[in-house]
Amino acid sequence: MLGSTVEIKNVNKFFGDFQVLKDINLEIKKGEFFSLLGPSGCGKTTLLRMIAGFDEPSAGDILLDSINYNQIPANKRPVNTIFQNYALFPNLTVFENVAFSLRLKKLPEQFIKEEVHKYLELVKLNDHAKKNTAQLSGGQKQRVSIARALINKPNVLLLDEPLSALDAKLRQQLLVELDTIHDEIGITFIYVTHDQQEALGVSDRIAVMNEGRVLQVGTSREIYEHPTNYFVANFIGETNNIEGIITEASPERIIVKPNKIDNLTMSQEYKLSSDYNENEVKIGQKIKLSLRPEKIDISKEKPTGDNHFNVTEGIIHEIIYNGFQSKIYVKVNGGKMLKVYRTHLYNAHQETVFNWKDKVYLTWNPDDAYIIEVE
Amino acid sequence: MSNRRYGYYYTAPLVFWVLAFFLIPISIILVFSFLKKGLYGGVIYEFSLSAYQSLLNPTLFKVLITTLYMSCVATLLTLMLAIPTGYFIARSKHKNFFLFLIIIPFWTNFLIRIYAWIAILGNNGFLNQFLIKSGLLENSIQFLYNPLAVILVLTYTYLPFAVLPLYSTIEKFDFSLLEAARDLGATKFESFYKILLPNIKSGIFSAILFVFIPAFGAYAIPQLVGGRNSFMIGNIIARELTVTRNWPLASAMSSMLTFITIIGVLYFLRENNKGSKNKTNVKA
Repeated sequence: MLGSTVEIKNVNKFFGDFQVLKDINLEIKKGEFFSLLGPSGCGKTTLLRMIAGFDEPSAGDILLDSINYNQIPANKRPVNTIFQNYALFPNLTVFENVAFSLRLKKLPEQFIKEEVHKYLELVKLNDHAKKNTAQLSGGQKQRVSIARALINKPNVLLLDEPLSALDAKLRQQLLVELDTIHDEIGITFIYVTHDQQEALGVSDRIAVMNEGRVLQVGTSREIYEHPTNYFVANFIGETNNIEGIITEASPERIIVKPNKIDNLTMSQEYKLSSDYNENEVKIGQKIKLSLRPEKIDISKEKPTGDNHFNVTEGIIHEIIYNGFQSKIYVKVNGGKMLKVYRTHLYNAHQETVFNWKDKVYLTWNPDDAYIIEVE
Repeated sequence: MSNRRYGYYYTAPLVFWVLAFFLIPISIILVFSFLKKGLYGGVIYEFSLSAYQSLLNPTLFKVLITTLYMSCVATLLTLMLAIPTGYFIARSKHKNFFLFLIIIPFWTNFLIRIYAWIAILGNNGFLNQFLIKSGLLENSIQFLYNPLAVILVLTYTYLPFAVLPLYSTIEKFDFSLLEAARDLGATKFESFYKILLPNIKSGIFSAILFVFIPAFGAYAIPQLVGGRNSFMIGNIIARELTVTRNWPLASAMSSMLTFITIIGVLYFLRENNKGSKNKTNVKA
């Protein structure tokens, strides 16, 4: 594996009295595609700027391959950055932008020419070498900045919301290209974004951040299917938050009586993240659960079978049709509103059509909801 | 139709202004330079090239060189001070306050500010007194009445004219470009030299024009703080006009001054357009 490991140890950052980062600890592996995901203002960009060397931590250390880089200026770090606004040099052509770092090293002209063409080829911009940066589209500009960074052969590439200024289709396309480039070059990528789809799509691991803290680190699947935290569950994808009281508890299962949902006994598989251990869960405790809308099955007939758990009925309050799926808001008896996704698969013309004010039944598997917090 | 005609009316004040305060005076000077001089000043309306013949005088040529030299050095010094100042103000949180400080000197009369320099640099001035009292000097030094004093006061006087256009260009500069340059391995100096300077070129050109043009035609400053060896063209023109009373010669020198200035302006405008043409030439 190429690239460097990046360790962030007890990093804190203050801007005046305001604490932007609180005790950040991360270990990023060699060649990993690692994402920092969080809403704007969560401190993810500040953390990235510290790795780049534009900001210094108020406390704590940043290590690349176990070497402390706190005191090393940006131009001496084996790290390059892709900026959100591209930051191309308007006084230079595309070719000269890419050649910038090689020219600084005063390398021979022939070598520079070959290298620049090689990297422009990588981002498919060889035909645009002589152009001025103002003549390029947004996507092309970001490609130039990728070539300009990679030609320097960094061990770590930092990407600061690189796609957020592009339109949706182009964003998808460039995201795939970035992933391909990562596979080809094999160096460590640290990708900052507020877009969960981007992060889930390409990352090996994700750190979800909010208000200056890292809340959870894990693979896309872990983050989505087993969030350990209320914020993570709600920030990544959509979910139904269900609060209730534990009425029965066994080592494998707990039974929950949810608030604002009548006639529902909720059976919940008791596999928890390490944050809660078995001893903590007792009858009578308050519990917060999260249930993804796509895990709920919706039907007009009462589900048959011996499973009398996790069935509730309600009235359709709103349907939002999105083409490949519909989002249905169901007001269940008791007043709680639950979101349900229904994907329109094959045989769409034969499927049950749901209408506004229809009476429907909702059901889900005991291991599809997950426990977020127990008080 | 009528709208189109109104367009001409709108430009009338500008046309009048340019005619009355620029084209007509310049034409008068140009015409006078080709006439014979009157006995007691004024001109005789008879064509003559004698004024231009007198321009070929080596003493005059020497003054022209001194003038060019001093205004160039003053312009360079001003730029070296104005670029960091403009940069500092553009990145500061208290932009308005600092811009206010830059403008304050304009509240005082130009001549009074020159006399203030005489009070500071004179043989009995503050600086000499201070140096003598602190024991660093025994006898006062002659700071005034030499080319250096003229350059110093020129720089002081025209500094705000350079700071303001530079500030407004630097303020629009995207500072993340400097970070990008540093990120790609440039030292602080390299990122300044290779990225900041080329991108604020138009501000630098405006600053050069705003400083060089008035400095090149300076009259009061060399008159008050300059000596015999730091006379500038402006002083010679004034002398020809008021003492020697050779109006055609004064006019010929003025025309030459204007001519050199116009060449300079055209050069910088062309250089400046080169850059902006590339930028606006979008979509290929």
